[in-house]
Amino acid sequence: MPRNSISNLQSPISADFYSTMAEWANLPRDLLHLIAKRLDSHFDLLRFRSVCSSWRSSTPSKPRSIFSHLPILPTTGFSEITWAFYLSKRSILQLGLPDSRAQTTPNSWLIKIEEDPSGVIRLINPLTTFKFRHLPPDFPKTFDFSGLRVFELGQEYVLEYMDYRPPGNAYLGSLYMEKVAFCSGNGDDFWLLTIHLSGKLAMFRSGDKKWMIIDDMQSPYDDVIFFDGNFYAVDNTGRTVVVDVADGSSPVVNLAASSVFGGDKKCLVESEGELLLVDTYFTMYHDDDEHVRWMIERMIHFKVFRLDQREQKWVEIESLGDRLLFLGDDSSFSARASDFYGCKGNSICFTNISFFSDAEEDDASRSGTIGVFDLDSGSIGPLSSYANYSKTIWPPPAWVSSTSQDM
Amino acid sequence: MAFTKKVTLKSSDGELFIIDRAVALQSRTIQYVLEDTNPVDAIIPVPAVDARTLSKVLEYCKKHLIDLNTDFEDYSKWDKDFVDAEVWMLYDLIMAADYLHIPPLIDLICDKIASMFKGQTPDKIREIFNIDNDFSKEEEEDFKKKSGWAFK
Repeated sequence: MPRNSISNLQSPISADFYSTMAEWANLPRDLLHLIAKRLDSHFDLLRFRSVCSSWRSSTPSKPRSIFSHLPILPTTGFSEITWAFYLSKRSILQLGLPDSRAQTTPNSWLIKIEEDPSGVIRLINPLTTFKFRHLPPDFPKTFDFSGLRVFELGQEYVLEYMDYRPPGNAYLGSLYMEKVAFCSGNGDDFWLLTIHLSGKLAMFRSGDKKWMIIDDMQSPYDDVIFFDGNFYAVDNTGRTVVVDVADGSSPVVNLAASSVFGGDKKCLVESEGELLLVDTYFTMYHDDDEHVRWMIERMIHFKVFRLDQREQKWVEIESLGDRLLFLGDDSSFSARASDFYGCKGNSICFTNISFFSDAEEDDASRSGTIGVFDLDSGSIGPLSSYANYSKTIWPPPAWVSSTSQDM
Repeated sequence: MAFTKKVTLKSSDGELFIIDRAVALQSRTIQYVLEDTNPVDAIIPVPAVDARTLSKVLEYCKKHLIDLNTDFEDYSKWDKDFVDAEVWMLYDLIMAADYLHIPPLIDLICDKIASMFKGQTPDKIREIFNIDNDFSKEEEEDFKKKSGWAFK
């Protein structure tokens, strides 16, 4: 092999010579634009534009809402029962005080927010659909987050059935329980991927009049996700496919990983730039009340795999290290455990009706259907038995009251 | 043994770098120079890039030429380590990559810089990149008002 000779001629120039001030504020506009383009979180872009005037003028602001029109979609091709779907978007955020030398106690808070068309923000339990209606008395009416660290851990899109044509009181029902993966295209264009009642994949492209049902199915699909620029879907054997949104004709499905079989339900989640598969094992138990006998699925075990793209297979991982996985009702996401006070990594927070309790202390947070699984010990239990994990969600940390903009 | 054509580059501070033509061709700027003038044994000046930065850029070009067939994961690990550099070095590198027009290197550094912004407050970003806050108090108040959340 020819050896490349980068010949460093003797040079007496000291390091000081190179320390000409890096003028980040005056970076050429096209480079600033390339950097800003990579900030896919609305919050990161907002902050980028608040650094200095030249950065601000290099990049136009993005509207907070992704929809410039009412997000009402047809159900044609999907379901003939209702008139339309209403598509809403929520953001899952990790908020925290910036690092300071004096204060190193982890203090992050996990929230999910939804903005309604009038600009009002609603706070939702990050794993469920429960809206917090009774905010603490010292909770700021207007929340100033410019001094906080804000990580957008994920976004979720939810389709709700609309029963009546507007105007009038359209009934929004959330009977449709499957997750929705979202991919934005040029301008206002977007694609959605979700799971049809038949277990097949269903895709919708903005502007289309009907849904496309994708026929490829060996076993019913369990979950969908948008990861690293592609739609992925996993069926209940763990067989995973990439769904290619080729322009024009019907979408193309390609194998990403073979089946793993094993447990009862498969879930996809991103963690530190990697795609993970969580395999959930259930047991059925019954609960008798006066008239009815309920059969309820209860989670008893989890296994986690990472995707080996080259070998097209899922490889089981022993430990998640410092990562915490959250498997919510409408989306999955992950966070760094050490950012949250008293939380250890290598754990999974998940929702399951079997943890539901009527206890009064649940009223404030309605976290009663959330459970925690510790991969180290294999132990599993309701969130209420893990006090520190519970505090990642509710009540808000003490510092929140100091972020008020109110006079 | 294969005959390899060489090209000589001269940095802003006068150092000479003798490299394979194929390595140099990853820079579109140099590619144009070679196509237009076809200088035989001539020295191509790179007046906007100093020796320290140029040697780092050429290290990147060399790696990405030789290792075109190595698997994806090794490659991305190398890239990650390559941009794990001081902030001033990233500045010199992105300016050099822009001047020499090496799109994959520009992309790599932009990815790195964008990842440094994630989650940070504007104050922290200014601190990391040594940028003066040139907004007036009124402007700052206005941003805050517009970006605040009204909870219900």
